[in-house]
Amino acid sequence: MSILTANMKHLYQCRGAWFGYLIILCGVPIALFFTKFDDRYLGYLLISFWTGVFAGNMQKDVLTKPFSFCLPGHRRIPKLFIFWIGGVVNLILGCVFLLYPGLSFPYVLMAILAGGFVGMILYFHGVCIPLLKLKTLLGMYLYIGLIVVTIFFKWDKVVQNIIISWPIPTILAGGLVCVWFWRLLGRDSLARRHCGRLVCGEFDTSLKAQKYRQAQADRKLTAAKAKFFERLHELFLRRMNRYEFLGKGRYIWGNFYMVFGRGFGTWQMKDVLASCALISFLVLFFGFVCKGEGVNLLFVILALVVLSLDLLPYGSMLFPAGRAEKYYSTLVLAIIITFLAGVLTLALTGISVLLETLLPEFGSKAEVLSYHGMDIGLFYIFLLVIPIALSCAVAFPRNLIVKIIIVVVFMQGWIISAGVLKQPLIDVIGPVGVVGLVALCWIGFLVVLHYVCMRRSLVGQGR
Amino acid sequence: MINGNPIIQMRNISKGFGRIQALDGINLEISGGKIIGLLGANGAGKSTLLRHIIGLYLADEGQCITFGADAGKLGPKELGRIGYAHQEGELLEWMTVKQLVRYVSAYYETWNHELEEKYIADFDISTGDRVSSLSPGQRQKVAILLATGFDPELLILDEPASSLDPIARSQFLDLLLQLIQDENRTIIISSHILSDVEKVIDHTIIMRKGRILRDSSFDSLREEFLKVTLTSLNGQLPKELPFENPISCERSSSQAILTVQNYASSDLEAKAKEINCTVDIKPLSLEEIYKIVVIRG
Repeated sequence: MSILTANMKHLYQCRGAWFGYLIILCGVPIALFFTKFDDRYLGYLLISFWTGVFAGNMQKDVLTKPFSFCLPGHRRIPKLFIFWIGGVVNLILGCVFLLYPGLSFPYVLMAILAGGFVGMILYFHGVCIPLLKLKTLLGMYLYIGLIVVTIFFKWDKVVQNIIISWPIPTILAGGLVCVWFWRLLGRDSLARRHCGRLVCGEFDTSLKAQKYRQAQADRKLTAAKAKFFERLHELFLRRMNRYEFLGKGRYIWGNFYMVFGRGFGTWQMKDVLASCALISFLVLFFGFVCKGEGVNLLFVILALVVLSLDLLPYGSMLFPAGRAEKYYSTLVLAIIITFLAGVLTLALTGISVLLETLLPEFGSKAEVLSYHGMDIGLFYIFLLVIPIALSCAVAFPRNLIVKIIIVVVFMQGWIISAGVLKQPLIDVIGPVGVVGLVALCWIGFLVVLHYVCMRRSLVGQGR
Repeated sequence: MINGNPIIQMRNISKGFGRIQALDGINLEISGGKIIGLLGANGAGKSTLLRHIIGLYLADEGQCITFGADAGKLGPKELGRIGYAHQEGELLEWMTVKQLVRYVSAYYETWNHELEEKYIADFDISTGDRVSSLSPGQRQKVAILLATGFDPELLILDEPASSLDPIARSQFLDLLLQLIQDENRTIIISSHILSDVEKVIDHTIIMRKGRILRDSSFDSLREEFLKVTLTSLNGQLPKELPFENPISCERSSSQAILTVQNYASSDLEAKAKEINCTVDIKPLSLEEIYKIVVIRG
C-alpha cells in the first residue's frame, strides 16, 4: 500500500465527507447561473472555499491518527494532497473564463491561470479553518461576510476586472501566496499539533461533537461555573424529590435535567455570543434582502433549531423508567421546548418590527435597501414546522446528514412555495385549514414519538 | 435450561440489524439466585441478549419475559429491581462523580448509602472529579457503583471489568462475592476475562453467532470436560489408547495427555488400569472449556 493510499483509506471512513462532495457539486450550477445571467464569473469561489474546508477537514482527521504520525514518509502527504486537490479543482473552475467574451486564446489562458490562483486563495482560507486552528466561527463569519459584501457591493466584479486587466500580476501574487502556504504546511509542528488530539470536524457525528465540546468546557471550567452547576443540580434534585419514588413526576424532572444538563454542561460564553451574533445577523440580513420577504424565513429557521437536540439521551443508562415513562417525559419536554422556542421567536418578531421603524433606508437611486420586520401573522409557520423538526430530532437523533438534508429541504420548500403560492398559506387554505394542518403535524409528532419510544431500539445499532 | 422459578424467560428470540442476525432463535430461562457467566466472542450477541432482557431492544420475533412482564413493557417497579452496567460507559459527563451518584440515587428508595461509601473508599474513586475527565477504568468503577448501589435483585454486568487494572478487578470480584451473599440476587456477567469469571459463576451460557451453544451449570461443564494424564508403569504406552474420540491427545512413548468428554472418573481409572498406567484427572479451566465448545460448535 502506498503512503498516499494509506492516507486515502483514512478519508473513506469519514462518511460526512460525501455530503461535502454533494455541496461542492451543487455549487457548480449556482456558479454557472451567475455567469450566464449577470456576467459574474467568480461564483465558483464558493466551490473553492468549500473544497478547501473539506480537504482541510479530511487531512485534520488523518493527522489526528497516531498511525499517520508514525508512518514513514507520511508527513508531506497532507501538504501534497491539499495542493493537488486545490490545484486541479481551481484550474478546472478557472476555465469558466473560456466563456468570457472577446479574449484572445493566449489571453484567455492567462485569465484561466489567474482565476485559478484567486480560487486557490479562497481554497486556502477554507483549508485554514479546520487545519490551522483558524477558529471555525471566525472563518465562517469571514465567509458569510464575503457573501454579504458580494451581494451588496459586487466586489467580485472588481476582482474579475483585476483578473482580466492584470492577469500576470494576479498570477504572480497568487503564486507567492501558494509558496507561503506551501511553507506553512511544511512545518513539522503541524503533524505534532494534531497527533492524538480529540478534534471535531464540521461533519463529525454528534456523539464526537458532544465529547469534544465537553472536553473544551472542562478545560475552561471556572469556580463560578462549577458553583452554577451545583445550584442547578440542587434545584433539579429538589424538584425530583417532591415526587414519589418510581413515579412519573420524578422521572420527568430527572429527564428534563438530563437533556438540558448536556447543554448547560458544555455551555461557554463564546457560544452564547456566537449564537446572539448569528441571530442578529439573520434578523438584519433577511430583513434587507429580497425586499424583506426573506425575513419570515426566520419562523422556519428558529423552529429547525430543535433538530440539534437529542430528546432521548443516555439510553444505555438504566433508570427505573420504562418505555411508557420515556414517551410521556419526552412529550412533556417537547411541549416545554416548543413554549421556550415560541417565546424566543415572538421576542425576535417584536424586535424586528421595532427595527423596521428605527432603521433608515440606504443605497443608491437604482437600488434602495429598506428593512422589513417579521410578520406576526405568519407565526403559524413556526407552529407548523416545530413538530416536524421535533419528529426528525426524535427519529434521527445522531444522523447529522439527515438533519442537514431536512434543513435544506425546508429552505428550498419555503422558496418554492413562496414562488408557487404567491400569497401566505393562511390566505390559501384559511385559518381553519391552518389550524387543521398544525394539528395534523402535532399528531404526526405523537405517532413518531410513540413509535420511537415503544417500538424502536433505545440504544446502539437500532437507534 | 435452569431449574427453579424463572425470572427471565426468552422464547425463540430473533433480532437482526440489517443483514446481521444478532440473535437467532434464542430460548433461555434464568431462575433467581444464580450467577451466570455469559461468554462468547465479539459479535456473538451477548450485549444484544442482555439488552433484550431490560427492554432496550425489542425482538423481531419471539418473546422475552422479565420478572413476569413483557420486557418491552417493563415499568418502574420491575426496572427498579434491575441494575445494569454497560460496556459503553455512557454516563452523564457534565456532572461530578458525587453529583452523578446523588442524581442516580434519587431514583431509588432502597439506595444503600453504606455500600456506596464503602465502595468509594475501596475503589479509591475521587468524587470531586468531573465524569468526563475520568479514565476508562474509573468510569467502569462508577458504572458498577451505580448499578449495584440500590441492591438490585437482578444485576446485569456487560463487560464490567474490561478496563479495570488487576487490583481493581480483584476488588470487583470481591464485591461480586459480597453481593452473592444475598440468596435472592441473580447476576448475569458477560466478560472476556474468563479466569476472573470462573471464580464466581455457577452457571454458564456460551454463545456464537447469535445462538446459544451451551447452557449448563459450571459444575456439570467441569465434569464433562477433563484433562487426563496417563503414565505407563512399564515404560511404553500401547499404540491404541482405550478412549473413543478424545478432543486432543499429546503423547510421548511413556506418557499421554488427553482431553476427553463425557467420561466418569471411575471409567477413566478403570481404563488406565487396563493398560497398566497411572492416571491423573483434572478439570479444565473455563477458558479451555470455552475454546473447545466454540471450536467444536
